[in-house]
Amino acid sequence: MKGVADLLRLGDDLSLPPSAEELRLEVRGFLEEERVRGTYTPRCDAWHTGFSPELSRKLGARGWIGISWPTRYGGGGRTALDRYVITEELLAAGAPVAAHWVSDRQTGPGLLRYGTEEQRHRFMPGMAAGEIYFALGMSEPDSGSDLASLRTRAEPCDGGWRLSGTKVWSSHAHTCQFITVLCRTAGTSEDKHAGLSQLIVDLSSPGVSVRPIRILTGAHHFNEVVFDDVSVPAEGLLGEPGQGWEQITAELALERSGPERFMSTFPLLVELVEAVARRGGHGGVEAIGELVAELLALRRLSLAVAVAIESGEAPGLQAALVKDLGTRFERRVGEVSRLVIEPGARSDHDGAFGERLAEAVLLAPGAHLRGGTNEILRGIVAKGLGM
Amino acid sequence: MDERDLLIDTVDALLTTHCGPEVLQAARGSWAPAVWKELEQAGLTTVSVAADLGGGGGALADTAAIVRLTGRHAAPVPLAESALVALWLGELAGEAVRPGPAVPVLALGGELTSTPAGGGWTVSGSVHDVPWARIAQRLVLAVAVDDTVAVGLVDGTAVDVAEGTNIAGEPRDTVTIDGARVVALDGVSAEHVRVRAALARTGLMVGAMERVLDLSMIYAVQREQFGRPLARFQVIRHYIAEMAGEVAAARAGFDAAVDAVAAGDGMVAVAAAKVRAGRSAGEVAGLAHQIHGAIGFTDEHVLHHSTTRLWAWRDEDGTEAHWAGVLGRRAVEAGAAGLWSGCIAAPPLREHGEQEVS
Repeated sequence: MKGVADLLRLGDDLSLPPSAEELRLEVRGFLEEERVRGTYTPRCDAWHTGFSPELSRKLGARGWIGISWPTRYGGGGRTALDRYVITEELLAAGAPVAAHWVSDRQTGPGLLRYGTEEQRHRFMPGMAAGEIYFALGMSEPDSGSDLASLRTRAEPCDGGWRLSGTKVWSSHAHTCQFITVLCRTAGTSEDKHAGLSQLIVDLSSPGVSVRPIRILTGAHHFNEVVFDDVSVPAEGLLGEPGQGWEQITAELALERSGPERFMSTFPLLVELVEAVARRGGHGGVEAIGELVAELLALRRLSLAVAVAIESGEAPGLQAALVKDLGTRFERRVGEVSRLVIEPGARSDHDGAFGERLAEAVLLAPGAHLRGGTNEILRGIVAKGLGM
Repeated sequence: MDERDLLIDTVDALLTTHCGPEVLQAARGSWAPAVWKELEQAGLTTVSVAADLGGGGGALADTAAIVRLTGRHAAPVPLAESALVALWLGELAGEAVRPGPAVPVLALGGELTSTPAGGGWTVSGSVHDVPWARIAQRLVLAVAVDDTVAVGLVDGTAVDVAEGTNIAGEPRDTVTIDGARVVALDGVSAEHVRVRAALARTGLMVGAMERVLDLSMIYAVQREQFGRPLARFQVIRHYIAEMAGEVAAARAGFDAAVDAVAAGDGMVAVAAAKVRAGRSAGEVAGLAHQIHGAIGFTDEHVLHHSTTRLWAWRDEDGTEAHWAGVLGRRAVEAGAAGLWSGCIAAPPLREHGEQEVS
């Protein structure tokens, strides 16, 4: 068994190039202007819940969506580190970027890795412009953590596929144009990961119905998507038939390690610092220090994973660690904040602290469940360590 | 495999050979001079000191790696304190390296009385909990006086040493000084010195945590109960995964701190790293003892060499409470507007016109 230092090891040189730091300042400046103009209010979880075609189009117009995609597909031709910097700034600002988030984070890279030239040209320029939005069809009512047990099937037919089944937790499927669906195209559930494929489906196709699933706050962004014998053309297949599991595994590493896994409650941390600064005295200072210390360590880990992925590695173990640690940190921001600022003081000033705290507390369970529960992640880590 | 990997493998192999359980048992309450000799002969005790002062001229990250490895092996030698703190102070004072460990005595909180004398000060008094004082021929004394730090080289025989230990059985002595001479170091503050000491302690802790996790994984795979290895039980697997997260986070904090100190702006990163490592240390030690069961709680088993050090080291060179206070104050000063841009996402700055002290 390899020593843990070797197994957890990520690269050493994580300095960002000056071009990335310049880009960072541009993005930050733009977001500050938009915030002051009132285009958006910083919120916890905004990257996930805040669907704003207006903001996504503006970001797209500036070339900040798909910045690491080749320019011939509408991308910026730059690196994953540039994307990382943009991502961080969007999260730090608590900006509503949900519309293009899935495209930028995983569907675009999925098309680059597995898509045909035709698919790339069809979708990616619109995605990069912030105009084409993708949802994800993975979990089902009977298949959550045990995703490979899914039952949505696509039967081959003349000209393509006929797709039937039900997907749940598809964020923003009611406002996206397309959805990538993980489905079975060969074999049965007993074949587990074999026989699964990814299909790109137009959500306006006949046979598709989208129904809201409201979370405990009453907010609607999750959906149930039912496919009733939906006709999917052959060009809707993403990658190879039967390769769906391998394809999404690569996506999952990207999905799990990003800074959204520890920055969701950063807008609350900002308000906490503001409230403590206004109040004066030493109360809450150590609590803030502990949270900042955690955040700095997580940032370093996440950046190291991004650099490793950019170098062609597949740090699934480290990505799972980032998400497990990160989501627990996110919850702690809420748990600590409520004890530092008494209920009576939470609507002080502009009431922003109280609003952010409520968001953080109510939305906390979601972070530990989406993109792989913490329990599943720990199983992945244990397996990756050779247990 | 790059040069640092080679260095790490070399140190790891050397310590595996020379620093086994019998050495650790024998060195309790004392030290292992043979281990120091091996490290010194391999040139590993002065790696980052400037070449023109007799050192290896290497990067801070090289010494940081060596420190982490001595932590991993619980090596009963003052490598961390000597290489990262005493030699750094010595280098700033223009001192060439000499054989044998140089042990720092840090009097940064007004422990000593000072009297101006001949361009510097004469200091007297007692400093408690000085790591390794009893074994050192050379003590590097750093005193906070008049808004600066003054340094002096003191012979081990010229001070009074009352022996003590921390809860891991490592020497932590009271040094009583009677009229030692110290001279101001330009551009060095007490905070700089504390940061440096905290960096060393953090590196040791990260190494110890790596060892504790390794031991726990091995034990979980080898120990069988109810007809199968502990590693097949989900609870144990999750404990291991939790420990791995803590180790990874502590290591990330340490790596970031080393980079920041090397760039001349280490306070925030080191404070964060010491806080994070301190928290990790408690979690990792606790989970390790759970996984190891009763046998891990014995004197005979090697686990305690590492866990007692984790418990001792998290309380040395500033607890999590101290450094979280420092970091939190910085964050609150930065305020909402500066929290991200000034505190968390700020690239390390070099202060204009100041000599690089890190």
